[in-house]
Amino acid sequence: MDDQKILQLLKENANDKALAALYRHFPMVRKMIRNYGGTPEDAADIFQEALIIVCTQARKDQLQLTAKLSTYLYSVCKYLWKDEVKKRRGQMPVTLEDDLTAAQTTNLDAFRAADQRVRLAEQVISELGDRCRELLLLFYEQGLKLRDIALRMGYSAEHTAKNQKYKCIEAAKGRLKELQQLSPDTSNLLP
Amino acid sequence: MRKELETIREIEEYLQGQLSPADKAAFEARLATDVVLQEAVNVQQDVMQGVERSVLQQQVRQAAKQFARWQRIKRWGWGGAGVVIVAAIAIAVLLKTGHQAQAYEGNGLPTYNEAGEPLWADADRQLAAQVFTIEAGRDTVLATKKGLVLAIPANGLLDMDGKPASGRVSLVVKEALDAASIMRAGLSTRSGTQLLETGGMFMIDARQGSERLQINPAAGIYLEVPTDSIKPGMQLYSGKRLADGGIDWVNPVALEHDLTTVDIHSLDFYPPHYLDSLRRWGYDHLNKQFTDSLYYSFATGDYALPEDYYDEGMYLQLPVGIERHSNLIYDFYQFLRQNMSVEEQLEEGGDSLPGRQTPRYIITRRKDTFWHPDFSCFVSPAIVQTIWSDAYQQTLVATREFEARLKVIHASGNNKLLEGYLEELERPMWQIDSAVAAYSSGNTKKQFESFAARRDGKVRASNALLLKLKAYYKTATEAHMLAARKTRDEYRRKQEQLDSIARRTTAKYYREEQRRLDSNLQQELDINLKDAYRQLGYDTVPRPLPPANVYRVQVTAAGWYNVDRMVVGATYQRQTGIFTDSITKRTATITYSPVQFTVQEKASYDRLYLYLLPDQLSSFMRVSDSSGVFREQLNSLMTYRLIVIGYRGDHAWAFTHMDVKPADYSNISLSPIGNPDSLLQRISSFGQATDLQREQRYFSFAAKDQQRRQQEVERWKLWLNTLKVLLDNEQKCSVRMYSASEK
Repeated sequence: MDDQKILQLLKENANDKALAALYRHFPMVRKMIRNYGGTPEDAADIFQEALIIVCTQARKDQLQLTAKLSTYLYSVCKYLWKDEVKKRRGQMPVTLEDDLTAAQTTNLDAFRAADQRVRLAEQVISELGDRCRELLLLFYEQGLKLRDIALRMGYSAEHTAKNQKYKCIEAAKGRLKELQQLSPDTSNLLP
Repeated sequence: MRKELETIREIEEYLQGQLSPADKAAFEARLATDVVLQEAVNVQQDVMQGVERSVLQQQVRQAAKQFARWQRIKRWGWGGAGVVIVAAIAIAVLLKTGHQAQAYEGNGLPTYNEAGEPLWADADRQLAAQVFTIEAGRDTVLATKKGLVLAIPANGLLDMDGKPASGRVSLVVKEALDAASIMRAGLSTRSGTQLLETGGMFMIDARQGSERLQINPAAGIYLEVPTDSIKPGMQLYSGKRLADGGIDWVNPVALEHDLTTVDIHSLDFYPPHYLDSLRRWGYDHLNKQFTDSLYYSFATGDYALPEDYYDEGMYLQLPVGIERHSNLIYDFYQFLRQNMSVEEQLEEGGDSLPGRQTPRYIITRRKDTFWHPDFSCFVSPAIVQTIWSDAYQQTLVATREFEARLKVIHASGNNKLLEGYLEELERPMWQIDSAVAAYSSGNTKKQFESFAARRDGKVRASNALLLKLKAYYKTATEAHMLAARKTRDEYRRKQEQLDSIARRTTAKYYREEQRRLDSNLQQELDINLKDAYRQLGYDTVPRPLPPANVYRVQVTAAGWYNVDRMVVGATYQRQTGIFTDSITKRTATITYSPVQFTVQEKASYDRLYLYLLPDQLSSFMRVSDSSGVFREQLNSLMTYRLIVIGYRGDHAWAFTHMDVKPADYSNISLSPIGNPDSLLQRISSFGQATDLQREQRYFSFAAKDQQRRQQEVERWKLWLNTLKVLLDNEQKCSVRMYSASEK
């Protein structure tokens, strides 16, 4: 699958096919991270993190590709691993160049800062009850019709499902606000 | 709708761009001034982004898993675990002749469905077909786009006539594994009126050209459905197409999951309580070599009696030689009385157990059930020995699940149940569980029914291997049985030989001892007599006396005979004797004076011997001790040399002293000599070396033999105790003893 096709799929939100294609590059990344002192588990984490970044950037048309998509993905992984190594005090310093352009790096830094806020929201979503979570996922992400969702989830009518959805958002918002007050918002603080 | 929810709806419509231009302008105007609303919008936007990220995260994890599964499939082919569905059960493929059917292509469908009916559901039309071309004669593993993994065994597909299809065939899969595709396909997750929680839906069909194929029910197609977490109680439903285009889900079947093998040597195939008991009795239960050799010593399998003893399960022969050694055999029978049901025959001769004709046989008997040829008192250790080996690695046997079943089989004591598993290694565990449950009864039956309900599957192994194992099983078990018998018989023969040697050696020693004592006495008597006559003034060479055992001859004449008697009495009793001659009025005195010895740390020697070597006798005197003190009377006519010999394990210690006086020698301290051979060397220079060496050799032999007998009795106790553990099962065999004379 060529880059164009993958980007096309990502924009169309057909992520699974695109991800399966991108995963072919994982062994290369795993090797790189192991070479720089990481475990296979580290490699898996870093690669997944990088995929989320690349997919999100692609969907939002924020990708600034200078070479092939795989090269970029590889560089993002390097960038993330460099950061991780920095965080892990006590480990030997690693000289690690990530091959990103300055613009790409700035872009990634900003993305990750904003992502912290989104991660918090994601955490709230994952802590919602099963039904609430499923309802929200089906509704927003899969773009399914309310009628289908109601049918699938066993709601007697569309408006019940809708009402339920709002209640779920309300619950999520309440919880997220609490968490945001606990952890200061860092999205505007660029490094 | 509540006001708060109303606001949420409004914000959502704003964020998703669903407001009309007028409404949007109005909303933005409010937003510009309303700080609370601003925050509400921000947070709600965060929530939506969180949902987005959550989905993405899930998709990424899914991709990671799929990648890992592919890696695994590439590496291991058929092996591996997961949720596996026996598709043959679920997907009914019928045989009605399909006429000219178009092929599956994209969303296009043939005229007839897999059941040969012209009926398709909406889902069939909505979901694109994935068509795989495979070689029917080969094992094939393939994965679909969404990650279903199918394993089609060679000859797993049959044609209309039920013969294995050959050549290229098409395998068609339509799948809807996630919620979104399920809904897009218009599939409901209802069974009747019940709402189902689905792990995914799929349709499988196989065709060769226009011909429909059926799945070989004997082989099945194995299917792995990807899942994030294995949820208990998942079942496989068959889809029934309805006239309105829907599908009803019917005939739920519990999912079977593949079994994972572990290293067979990490499993415990011993009977319940076997290792526990050994630990309790103080044996090294962690020493596998020991626990194996003990357990497999029961593998002989030749306990069955001739037919006229049909109600009796097995008999055993007690160690042959031990009845000669009364204290050992006495202990042993005490043990038997306490531990076995020792019955009537033994009771009759009970009073005179030690020494008399002793019971020889222990018989186990099945009391309350009918005898039949398959009967076993306990699961044959020969079978366990066969299967608890590398040959059975990677099979059903090498699973925790089998280990659990074997425990129950041990408790049933029934070999047949075990054989049920070994003869059906290629089947899923639950099928054998059901068969075994049907064959057994009572508590055992219940346990196997509950095993069957767990739907434990099979271990994927090549058929060739399993076939080989079936043949191997019989021959190996037979071989182990014969080997166990041979080992046992050889051991018994060896012990009998040693017993016989011990008996002969002991008898010889006592004969020698008697001869030696007699000759010592004779010589000492001669010396005393000669001296008594000298004192009395007779210059007489004493006549030889008759042998010791006829000394009581009545003598009527006085004189010499009296002197003789006095001397004989003094010599016998080793006490000073005085005699006055009535004619010459002279007095003769034979003087014996006491001497005593104590040895330092006497208790620390395994064996300790104290000898006096009189200069005028041809043999030694062994001095016995009473409560730690060795006492003897010294004849003043002789000089004595002292030698003390002690043994600690394989090391000899000794003390020698020339010219012992009538005195108290206390705290004699022995010096190390080295091994017993160096001791024999050392004493070879002494006057009575030959006798002394001979005696020491015998004592060493006797000590070793005593040890052997002790070990033999311990071995039997362990063996019988273990037998009791093995017999502790539902077959209710018991141990009985009969006297040897009966056999």
